[in-house]
Parts: sequence; C-alpha cells; structure tokens
Amino acid sequence: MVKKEMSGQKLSEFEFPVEKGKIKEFANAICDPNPIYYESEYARSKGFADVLMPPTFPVSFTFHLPSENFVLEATKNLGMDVGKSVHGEIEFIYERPVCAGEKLRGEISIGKIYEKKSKHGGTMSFVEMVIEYFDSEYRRVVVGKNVFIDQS
Amino acid sequence: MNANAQRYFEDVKDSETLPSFEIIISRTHIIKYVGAGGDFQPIHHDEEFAKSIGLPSIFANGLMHGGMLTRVITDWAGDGVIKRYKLRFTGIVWPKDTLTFLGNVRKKYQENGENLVDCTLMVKNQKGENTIEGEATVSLPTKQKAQQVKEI
Repeated sequence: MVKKEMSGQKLSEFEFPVEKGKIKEFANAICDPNPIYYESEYARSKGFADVLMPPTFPVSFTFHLPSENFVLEATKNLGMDVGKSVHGEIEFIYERPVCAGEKLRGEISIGKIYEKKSKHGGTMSFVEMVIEYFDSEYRRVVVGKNVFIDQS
Repeated sequence: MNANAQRYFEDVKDSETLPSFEIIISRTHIIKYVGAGGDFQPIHHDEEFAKSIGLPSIFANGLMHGGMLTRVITDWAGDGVIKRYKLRFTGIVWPKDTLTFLGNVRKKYQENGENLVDCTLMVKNQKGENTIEGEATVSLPTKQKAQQVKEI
C-alpha cells in the first residue's frame, strides 16, 4: 500500500550545476543538432549568457542526488511495488530559459497521492514526485513533476 | 548545424502542422541516452537482465524519445520559448522501432501580456501506435515588438 501520509514530504535538496559539457552530451543523446546547445558564441549572438539547457535536461538531476539509488529507495519507502510501478507522466514548467554556468538548487518532494479505479476493477495509486529548481537568487526557474503509477 | 529561426506570434496559424521527423531507434540511441540522462535501471541497458524477466530486449527510457520530441517545438518556434512541456508515456519503444515525431497547434491566445500557443505533440511508432502523447505551451514574441526593439 502506498503511504498517503508521505504527501508533501520533502525528500532531499541538492546542487544542480548546469554544465556545458553535460549539455552537449545530452543534446547529442536526444539527436538535436541545434547549435544553441553546443556553441557559446552562437548562444550569445542570440542574447543568451551561454548555451541553453535543453528542456528535458533537468532529468539528469539523478547524477547530483545524495545516492545513485535515491529515487528507487524513495519509491520503496513510499510503499510502492517497484516491479508493478510505471512512470506515467512528466511535466516541466519553465519560468525562464536556463544557461550553462548556472548553479541551480534542487528540492525534491512528494506531491499529491491519489487513487483511481482501473478498467479491470483494481485500484491504481498515483504518486507525484516534484522537483523544484531555484537559481542563485532563490527564484524558482523550473519545476519538474513526475507521476508514478502503482498498479499493485 | 541548423540554427533555428524565431517564430512570431502573428505568423502562427490555427491547427498548423509542426515540422515532423523520423528516427530509427538503435540500441546505441538507448544506451547513449542512459549515459546522458542518468537512469541506470537495468531494463534500459542490460539485455541479459531484460531477457531474464521475460522481456524481448532492453527498451528505451521514455524520456529519450520524450527529449527528442522537444525538437518539434524548438525547430518550429525558436529557442528558449517553452513555458510548459508535458508528456504521457503510452507505449514502449524497442530497438529498431521507427519513431515519427509530430505536433500541431491547438490554440493561440494572449494571457497576462504574453502571446501563448498550445501545441499537441506525439511520438508514433511504425505500427501507428502513440508511444508518447504530449503537450507544450510556448510564449512567442510579436513582429511589432521586435521591430520596435530594432528601432531603439
């Protein structure tokens, strides 16, 4: 059973440095040749401080968590059955573009936990994992909201 | 490298089709994204493990093609304009799948002084099944404003 009382609980805080080399690697892995992700000069000519962070780049936060299995452990602590859980949804909300060289601070917490009836009469639990990213002036720049579905 | 032109709000047409593209997914794509994205669950890189739990092979992390899909928006709208990006993972992507990345304009409107466009996004496989259903909101500049800036 998913522990509903964990809703709203903060799990961890972490530093999230937005690095140029890591952006290049990421942009390459999503097959996007846009020079805005590779060339600092080009990015500056478009009015940005440096190469841009690709929209889904914040998913690489796992490299900066206290441990490699952090998300897995968190889902286990929530009482989710890892073998029967899927990553159903992700949503990003951007307050402004983020460039290489910025040091963001991430805060990861459990959002809403709710249930729905499945087509086959069972109960599915929906668990939100929310990651907020703040800049050096503690202004929120990006939010990533994941929905995990437990079908056990 | 293909630099992206800025799209202006006035030029957006209702139900406009966004430029699409295709990628045939290889194991290299899948593994490269694992390295860049940082999700090291064995189902995304360890063929022996995947087979041991009854899967035909490894399969892609949904955020791999979810990341590739951002290009449908940015190639069309320009850089640093995404306000919101949401994905629902609706199907599994296997090695050798041919994915088509698609999008279209759903709604254009003004809100709080911003010129916003909502888009519907999709990743289809070679069988015509949706593996991702997504949506994005972009904030676009107007030509009129750009002209004023030039004159200053």
